[in-house]
Amino acid sequence: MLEVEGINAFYGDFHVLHDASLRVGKGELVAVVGANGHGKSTLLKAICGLTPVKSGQIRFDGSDIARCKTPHLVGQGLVYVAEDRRLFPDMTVLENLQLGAYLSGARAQEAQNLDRIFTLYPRLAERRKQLCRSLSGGEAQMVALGRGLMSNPSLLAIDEPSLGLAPNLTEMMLKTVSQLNKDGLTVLIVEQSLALLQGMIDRVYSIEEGIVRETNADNMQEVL
Amino acid sequence: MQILEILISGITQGAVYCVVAVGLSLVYGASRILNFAHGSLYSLGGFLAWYLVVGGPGLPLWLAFLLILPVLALTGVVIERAIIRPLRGSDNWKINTIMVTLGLAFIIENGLQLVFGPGTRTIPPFVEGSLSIGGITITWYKLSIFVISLALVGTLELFLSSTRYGQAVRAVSQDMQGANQVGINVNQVFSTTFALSVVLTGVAGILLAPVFLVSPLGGWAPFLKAFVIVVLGGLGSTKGAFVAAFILAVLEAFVIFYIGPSWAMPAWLLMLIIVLMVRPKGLFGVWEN
Repeated sequence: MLEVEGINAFYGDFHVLHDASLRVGKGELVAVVGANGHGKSTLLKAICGLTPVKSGQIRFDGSDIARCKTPHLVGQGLVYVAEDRRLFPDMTVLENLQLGAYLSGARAQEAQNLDRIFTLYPRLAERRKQLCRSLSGGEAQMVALGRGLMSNPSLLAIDEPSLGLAPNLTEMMLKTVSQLNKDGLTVLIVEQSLALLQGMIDRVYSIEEGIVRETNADNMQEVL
Repeated sequence: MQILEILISGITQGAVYCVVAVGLSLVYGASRILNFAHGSLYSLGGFLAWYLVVGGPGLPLWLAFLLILPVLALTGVVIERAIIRPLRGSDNWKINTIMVTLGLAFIIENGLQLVFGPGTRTIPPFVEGSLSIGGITITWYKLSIFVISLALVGTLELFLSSTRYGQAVRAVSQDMQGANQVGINVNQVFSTTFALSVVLTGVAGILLAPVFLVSPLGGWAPFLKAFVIVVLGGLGSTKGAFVAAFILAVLEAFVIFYIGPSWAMPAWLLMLIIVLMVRPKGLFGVWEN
């Protein structure tokens, strides 16, 4: 579904990603694990059109998307959930979720998706009228994930959902992601620690100083 | 009774200030651009109307309006595309865009002077006569620009609050990357808000031409006022600009009557300083990351 081949990306003059490659098959839950500052967020942003790619190829559903802009990719079903959530603070929970269905493709299933998210997170239904700036970290993360789901993704790229969350909230968040994957959603997730993801992922890549390696089940423990 | 008359004069004036200020704030809110050419675009609107109604073909004002609106909107789009977008994201782009819009203001002003000469022009008010209720008199002209201004600002607020595109404009204003992530074409929102902003200021220039006259440099006073209003209301908040415009216009009306016209601006600045000391972001400042 997603094939990344030898991409290079820079932050100013700094070479962040070195010939990074990975692939995500339909229905898989694939993780990229690495320490802070090694380029895992940049990798996800490059795939989602938020960071320019200098060279290399990114194919999504067969077409080359390495030079595509984010809004176009959202329309194609490649949706990004940012580690810093990127909610609209002076809008309500409901408005934030509605904006997830901004593009016409997702608009058609807006009501249905909204029901699904409110069933998944009844707390968001209770707080639908509340401004996002007043939400707790856990609630904000629920809105961020919910907004991503409102875009009707075929592949959801999630950047460190555990960031800033208490352990029990992280566990709940990741359980939801795992459940969404079991229900058929393809997921590419980035995390600092593999321990959090144990038992839910199909494959894992490690990233170190911008170099991506696929890690098989045997040496997963090594990464741990 | 006198107090009521001053109050009414302030409120009617406030509505027009509001149109200029909301336009300035809308663009700042969506794209963080402080458009220093906002005042000269106000003059441009006035001159275009003067030419169509008085100096040139002698069209009725409503027809001139219909012809000028698309010209203003297109001007906004061209400015955003040609001189603002190329700078966006480069080093110091916020300062650079101020400099280029300031340069643009000079170009527009000198262009107007070249074409129309340095003198002032006026358009006859589109309605004559006045209305008297219980000893208070207000001209139909003032009353109608009040209603038109409120309708303009009201329509804009309605557009921002209850349409999906208006929601997108607010989204861009609150988190540009977040907006990009949900599929909003951010550049298109910049162009649209710029077009709307130029339409608003240009229309204010036309509406006020009968009282304030039109001159090539005449846009600086409304720009400066709009700037104070926008800062008082909170940069980027159209609601703030709306409230601040009325507060300051009423203040101005009272100061002019009791102290003198030259004290109006000092009174505004004093008010601004007091509010900013208590609320540094202004009355309804937008949230910044």
